[in-house]
Amino acid sequence: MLTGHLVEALQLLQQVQALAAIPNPARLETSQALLEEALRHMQLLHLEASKSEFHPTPAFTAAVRTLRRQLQHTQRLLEQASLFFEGWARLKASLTCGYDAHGNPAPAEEIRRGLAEA
Amino acid sequence: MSNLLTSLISTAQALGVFERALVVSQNNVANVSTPGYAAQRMILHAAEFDPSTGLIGGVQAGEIETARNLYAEQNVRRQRESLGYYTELAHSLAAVESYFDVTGRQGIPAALSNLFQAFSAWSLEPGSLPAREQVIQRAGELADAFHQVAEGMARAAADADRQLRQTVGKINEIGQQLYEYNVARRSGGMDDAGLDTRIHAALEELSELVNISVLHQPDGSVTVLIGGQSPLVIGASLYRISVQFDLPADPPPVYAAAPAPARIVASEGRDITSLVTQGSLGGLLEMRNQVLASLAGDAYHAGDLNLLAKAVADRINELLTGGWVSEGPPPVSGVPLFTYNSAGDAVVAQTLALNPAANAQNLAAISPGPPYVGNGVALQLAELAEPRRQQDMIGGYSYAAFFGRLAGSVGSRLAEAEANRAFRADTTAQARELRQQLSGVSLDQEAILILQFQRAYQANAKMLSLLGELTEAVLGMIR
Repeated sequence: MLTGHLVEALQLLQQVQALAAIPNPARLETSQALLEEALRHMQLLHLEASKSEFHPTPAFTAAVRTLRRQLQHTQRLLEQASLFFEGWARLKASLTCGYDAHGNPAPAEEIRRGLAEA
Repeated sequence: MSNLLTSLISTAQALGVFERALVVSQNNVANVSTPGYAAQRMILHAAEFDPSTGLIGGVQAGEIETARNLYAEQNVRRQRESLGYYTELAHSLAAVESYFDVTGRQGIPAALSNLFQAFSAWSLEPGSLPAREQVIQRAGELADAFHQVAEGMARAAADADRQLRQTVGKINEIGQQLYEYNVARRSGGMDDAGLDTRIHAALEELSELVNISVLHQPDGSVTVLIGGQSPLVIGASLYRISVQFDLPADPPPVYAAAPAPARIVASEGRDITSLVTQGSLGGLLEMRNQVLASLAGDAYHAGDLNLLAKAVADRINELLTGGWVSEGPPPVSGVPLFTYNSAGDAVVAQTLALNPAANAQNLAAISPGPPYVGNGVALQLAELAEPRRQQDMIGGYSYAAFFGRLAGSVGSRLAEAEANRAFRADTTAQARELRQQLSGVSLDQEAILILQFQRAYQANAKMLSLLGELTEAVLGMIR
């Protein structure tokens, strides 16, 4: 049962990674649902593992470490995409609206408009 | 009649403009699979219309607009710079790692262990000729083991030197191409989509070799700066770089007998090595000037391998020469077991050898003391396997543990480089997708896309963070 939850979480995470490779809002929404499912499996796994009769095998320990590595990889992948959009927004803002009193790029009018529309 | 003629002229002009716009669209369709191609669009302007003054209106062709997003292009180049760096580093480290066995079953750790066992056997029977011969044989094997690793490092350095020359040649070659494209751009190729594609493809290829900054000039040419400072191409001028392996006068070399580090030199003779931090060239420099230098030494580093070889040889020689072969009278002192080139600490491993004067008869087993111990030296030598005294260690580590740390650091650097290479391969693919997403999107669409993305990202990031916490909690239970 424990291994089943772990395998499920790993598979879901692999799907999230594939989605993060082409990051756009629609794909991120899909990945959010997958992450919720992975979270559910991990919660159950955590619950099972908390029981006193739990004795992890080396294979199980290795699989949890793999899960951790995959999580870190996915996190970094999404951060890269986020940094890209953040940088682009800042660059556009600095080109169109100059700087605010603190020297940061002032919010662009189109971003404000987009915010209102979204 | 004149009105009909005017209408016909206006229609004919419009057809001509639409035909040109259609050619631009056809070119986009034809290049849909061309790597690095960015779609173009012709801007149409309404012509002035005033029949009373003879202005017949209609449509006029404007400038050709590209869908290329330079920010997204730069992002792709940044990822490729990093990918090039880690790919090269991982490849070079993998070639070196085989010399640093962590299992202890072969190479230097096995030879060290065998020698210490031979010392131990000798200490039990200090007068035994076979035990003494075994010591001589094992000492020769240890010297051979150091040679093999030192030769492996020398081969890796020679490979790195050859690749450095090739990479620098390739960088200059792409620089030459960019120079030619700049000339073509200045000679009226501003709207040439094919030329634009070739320029960006060349810049992308260059970024995998070296970290560059690209400035787009109003005349359509590109300025390429290595490390953001040293020019490679400015307009119609090419500034070739070169790689040199000679010893600079400043700073003066510490170990003159050891190889000089590699230096990248700009066309005017300035050393720009420190500017090269990414791309294959950055990876090769890191391997050649940092990793290999720290292991096998160069003009400025003794190298850990040499440090180990020297420490082992000096300590064993010190113990043997401080002992007696026989008590005499007069007492006969022992001879050193090892020799090495004393020209510099950075060449010890490659010159370490069994002392030709050492043989089974003149190994000193007696410690004159006080107290006098018949097998005292042999015992002290056997204790080097698990030392308790600082003089038998390097920085608090036994010789075997010191080598283990060295091998471990090579292994962990390789694992780190492999992980980063895999990650950068993914981020490079991702950057290309992001470039595609932003290509040709209107500013309003872009603004909405950014907002929607950031919201979805935050939700995903929160989920990933929770998953991370749960994973750590499970790992905490396992430990």
